[in-house]
Amino acid sequence: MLNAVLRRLATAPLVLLVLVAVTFVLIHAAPGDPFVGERAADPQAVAALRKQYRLDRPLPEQFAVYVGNLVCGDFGPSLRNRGQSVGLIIADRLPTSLWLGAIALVLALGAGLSLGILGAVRAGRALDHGLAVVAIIGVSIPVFVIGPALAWTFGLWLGWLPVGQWAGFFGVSHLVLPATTLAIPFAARVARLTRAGLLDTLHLDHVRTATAKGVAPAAVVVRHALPLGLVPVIAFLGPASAGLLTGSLVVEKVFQIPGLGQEFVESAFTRDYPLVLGTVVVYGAIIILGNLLADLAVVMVDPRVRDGKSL
Amino acid sequence: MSISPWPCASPLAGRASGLRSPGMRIVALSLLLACLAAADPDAWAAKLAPPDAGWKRVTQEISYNCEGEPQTLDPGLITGAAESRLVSALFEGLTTPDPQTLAARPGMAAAWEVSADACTYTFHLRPGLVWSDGTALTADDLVRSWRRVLEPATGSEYANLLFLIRGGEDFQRGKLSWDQVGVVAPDATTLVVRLHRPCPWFLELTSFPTLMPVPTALVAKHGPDWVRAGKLIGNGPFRLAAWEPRSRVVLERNPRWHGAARVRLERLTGVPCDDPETAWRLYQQGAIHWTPAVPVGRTDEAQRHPDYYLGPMLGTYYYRFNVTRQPFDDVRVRQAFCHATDRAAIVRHVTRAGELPATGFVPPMPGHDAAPGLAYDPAAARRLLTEAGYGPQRPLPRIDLLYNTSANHKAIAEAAAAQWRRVLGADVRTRNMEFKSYLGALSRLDYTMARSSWIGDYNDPNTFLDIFRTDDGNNRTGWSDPAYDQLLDQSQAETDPLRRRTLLTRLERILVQDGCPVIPVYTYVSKGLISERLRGWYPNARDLHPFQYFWLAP
Amino acid sequence: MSPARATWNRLRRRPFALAGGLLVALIALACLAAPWLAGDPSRQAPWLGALPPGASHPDVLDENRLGVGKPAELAPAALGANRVVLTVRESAPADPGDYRLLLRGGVLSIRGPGGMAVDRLDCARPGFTAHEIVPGGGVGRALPRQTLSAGPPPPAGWFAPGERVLILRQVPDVTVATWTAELRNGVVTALVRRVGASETTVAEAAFTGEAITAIRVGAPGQERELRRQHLLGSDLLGRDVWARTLFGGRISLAVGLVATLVSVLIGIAFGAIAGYVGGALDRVMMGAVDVLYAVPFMFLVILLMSLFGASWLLLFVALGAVQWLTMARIVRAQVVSLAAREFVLAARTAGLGPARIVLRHLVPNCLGPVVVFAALTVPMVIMEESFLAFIGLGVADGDLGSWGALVEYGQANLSTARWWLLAVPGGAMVAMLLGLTVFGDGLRDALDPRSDRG
Repeated sequence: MLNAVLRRLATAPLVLLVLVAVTFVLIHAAPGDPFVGERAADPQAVAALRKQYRLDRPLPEQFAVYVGNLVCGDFGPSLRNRGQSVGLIIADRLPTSLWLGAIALVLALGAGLSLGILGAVRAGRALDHGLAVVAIIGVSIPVFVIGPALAWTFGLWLGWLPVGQWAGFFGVSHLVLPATTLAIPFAARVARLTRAGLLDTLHLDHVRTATAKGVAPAAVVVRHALPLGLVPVIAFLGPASAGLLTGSLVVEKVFQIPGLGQEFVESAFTRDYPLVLGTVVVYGAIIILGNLLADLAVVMVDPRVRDGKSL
Repeated sequence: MSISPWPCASPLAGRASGLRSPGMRIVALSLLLACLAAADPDAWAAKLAPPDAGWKRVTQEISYNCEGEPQTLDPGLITGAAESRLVSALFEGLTTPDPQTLAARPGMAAAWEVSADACTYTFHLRPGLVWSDGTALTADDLVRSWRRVLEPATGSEYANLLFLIRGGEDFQRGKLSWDQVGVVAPDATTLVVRLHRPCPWFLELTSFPTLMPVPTALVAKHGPDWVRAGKLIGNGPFRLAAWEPRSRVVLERNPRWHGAARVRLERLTGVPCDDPETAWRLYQQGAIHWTPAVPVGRTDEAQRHPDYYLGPMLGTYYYRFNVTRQPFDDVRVRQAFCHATDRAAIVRHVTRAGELPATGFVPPMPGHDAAPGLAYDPAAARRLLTEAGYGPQRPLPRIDLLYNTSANHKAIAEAAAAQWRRVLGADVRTRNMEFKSYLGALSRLDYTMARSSWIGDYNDPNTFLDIFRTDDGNNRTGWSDPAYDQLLDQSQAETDPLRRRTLLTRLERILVQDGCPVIPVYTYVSKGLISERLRGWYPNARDLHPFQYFWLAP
Repeated sequence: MSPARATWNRLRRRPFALAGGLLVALIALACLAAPWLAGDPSRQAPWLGALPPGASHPDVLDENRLGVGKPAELAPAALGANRVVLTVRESAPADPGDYRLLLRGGVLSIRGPGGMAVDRLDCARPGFTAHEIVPGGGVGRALPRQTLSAGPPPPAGWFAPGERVLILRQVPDVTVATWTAELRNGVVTALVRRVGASETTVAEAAFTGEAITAIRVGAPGQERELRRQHLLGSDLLGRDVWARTLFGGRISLAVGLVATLVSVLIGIAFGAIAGYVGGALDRVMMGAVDVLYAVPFMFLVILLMSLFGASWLLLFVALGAVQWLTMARIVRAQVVSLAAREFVLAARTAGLGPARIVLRHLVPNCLGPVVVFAALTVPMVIMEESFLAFIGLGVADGDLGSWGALVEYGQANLSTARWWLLAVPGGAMVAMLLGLTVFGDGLRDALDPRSDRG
């Protein structure tokens, strides 16, 4: 398994390259021109702009140049915001998205783990059934329904919390609704995975042994069952990073948060090629990294995997 | 919204020299203006001054919503209205618009003369003009800046604004050298400009950002980065104190500007809000004094806000026909659709922000006699359709109504389609396309009917009528009428204002009555919220609000 | 007992899963039967704006025409009647726009339509009464008959204390007339206008929907009023939300099913080939799947849709392409384990070709897990399509959009608290997704023989 992780680490740049290549082909095959607006622009000027940004060069050359620059950490200039580099735009917007995602992740883990443990410990009782129902509802409600629903209830109807404003990283009241919106589906999934994982491990020999030895039930759960029971949860964190990013597109739209998601959609619409590529690279890197970290964590937590047996 | 490429009429090259009409009135008026201006070029501005000195008790700092992160602050390159506001504060052209009437007032130039054929303009610059860093600003700077705009390598999308100048287009195409172009600076304070043909709005054009001077040496030194705070120097009433991307743009009074003594505002902060809703909240909190946008969903609420303002704008929302496609190759069908469009209902029930229903293509404009156009008349619509041979035996083919993705366009399209279905029995399907693909479809004439809009660039009907010339890049309907083109040439060469006025009305009549390549729907309105304390802001048709007149009342 | 029967028996013992399945079936049936359960989802009544759930209004068209000897143009429900009675508010044409009176620093300013400044406003015109327009667009109290001038001082008795803005409309004075039309087979045979005691016979007349306050059909004495009821409210163009939700469900479900089918087909083909051929090809193909797993597909789908414009084909292919990876893995694993079994060996010894073996023997035998995964894919695809529609990349069918598009519409108009625009389509979608997920979970557990233990 560790080998597999290392192999994946080695192929990560390859995956990114494939991603860049696919995106590159897509954006250049798409109709529309970055320099054409609602009014017909002067064709000479458009030609000059294309030349200035090297868009008149053969595509393979453009691709090679882009990848070369990318390796050196240069994302190129934005076509829409003249004189601003894509790197600058991403550096400006990404922290907001990451911060929101991190808060949502913490909320999701906190709520999901506690509810999941509660369900597993009370397995088969009314509380467990109730939690299962709540969890499955949480899994089924899309972010873009939760978002507007929360915004309406707490923002407009009750008027408790602000909607549609960004007050910086520590504007707590402004963060509550977006982060909760983003966290709910993941909290529900984490709760389900925790409960299932814990139930499985509670049947394992060493846990039963611990119980038989008279270890307190709480200690059994925390010390013996939980580490193994968490393996599926940790494995889920990889795909969850991707989910959080796609979810953030919606949350940024509903709550008007100046994150990278808005920039991504907008850049595709305005055909800002370097910005599209740049955001895709960043998203791709985050998702690949998320998956890798999750796998590594699984390796470290699960002795069965660590010792080379398969999951 | 964008300020636009000049809808330039290239076939006119060289015609002006053969012109016989001297256009004495314009000349006389200009000479009069020039004389007045020479006495004290800024005398007119005295009436804009505050009535008392009360303003001195207040810190003169204003913030406003600058509607999104500026794409650049390079006057030669900007394309948006939001950038244009900031650039007009940092730089100044030969003239500057009157904040109330939009007439050309002395800017860099203290006075000017126009030749008898109305084709040669001689501008006399104010003596002692300096850039904001104190270096001298001469007529040569302006020549170099215009040359920069015309050089293809600059990539100025609105370079064709300068095609009015003799040789301008040929220079850009590489056919002429720069010394053959009609812009010369005989000395440091004189600029002589020769045009192809008389152009009644040329003076107004000299206040346009594209024609403002830029420090060309600085541009050459820093490249695109010259517009950053700390580097940028300008010649306008304000200088750039800070530009923090996506957070704020701060301007402060430029003490070296020639009119600095009259500027009361010390500091102006632009807060970039892409989203009108955010701006609305910032306004409610008192964080900004002015937002030129109101969220669509809050129209009702805004109308009852005492700070809400609304005014007609030089812009028309319309539907265009592809006249090369069935069934709109028949003018009667186009007229039938015009008659079947109930603009009043759309404005009252769908857009609901006080827009003006329009049957003509040119928005209400002083000095223009509007052609009436084809009003809502279901009976006439049905009659025309029958005349065109459509009826129960031969129903209209299915019609796709194309719009670019937006909630507003969608709602209007659905309401209009329902009207055409009801009145004409037409099977109209609305179809959305993402913006860039939609533009492609328009240019290729790959549509049947599509939504469009046009925002005028200057206070003259020509900006609306010129785009429907045969093969104009903005025509995009396939419509072509030699009589219209001829009349357009005639109107552009006409120097007598009254005769020109009649010609323009005839043109509009051809456009919205006889030829009908478009259905005008409504005239845009500018709207927003402005604090009662912010003074020196005047409503006008181009939504231009020069900051140097702003001040904060106690 | 056959595996299918065993599965069914286990599924039967899961009330949640059954309830979920029932919910799905109900919603799907309702959506399928939308044309019978709901009216025309595109029929507008823009003058009404968004009506709350349960509201009703006279069942009339935007424009209603009656001409003797001609077919009547009325709402479909009225066409079958022999006699139609309309109550009509007749008035002079109204002014095109409202006036806004603004009080700032004790100075009155008057703004006309389009925000144009007005110096004098005559509110004493004969035939008109000025009314205040209340928030939401309704006509409020009548204002004094008086001519207003801009400037100080403010007029007495116009503004309430503290009020600084007043929206005013010159409402034409109204005559209420009763129009009676006799119909035979939908053709008008007689038309009479009645005001008070006076009666006139008219040959032809047209009424806007806005002007009609009631429509009744049937013989005198047995008249029945025709009203259009909006069970779950209407949207801003006056379209029925219930109808739009049902028709939107058809789109969402169709997308869910077709895209799932696409993913199943790609997944089966890919997985079966990799699993059956094995060896180097298997390693390469599954390696490719591993690499693709790391690709943020949803972002590519967004790119595809925003770059090339939303179209049905693209949507199916793109969403199907996102989902096939797991399907391919599942099928491959099944095929690998089945390929070693006796019946495959027997088929091979019998001389059957690889294509035949795969299609006839392997694929049918791995359908169980495929069906379960497909059942769980449908809600995911519905969610993804709605997600795309929500960020403005949906595909519309005329003016009908999927649930995602309806939720987006509700969200966009949320600030004015028209909750039903969001709650109705959102609720329908959540119910459907919930049902599908619960059912899919139940099915998965039921297919797993081990699940009998608990």
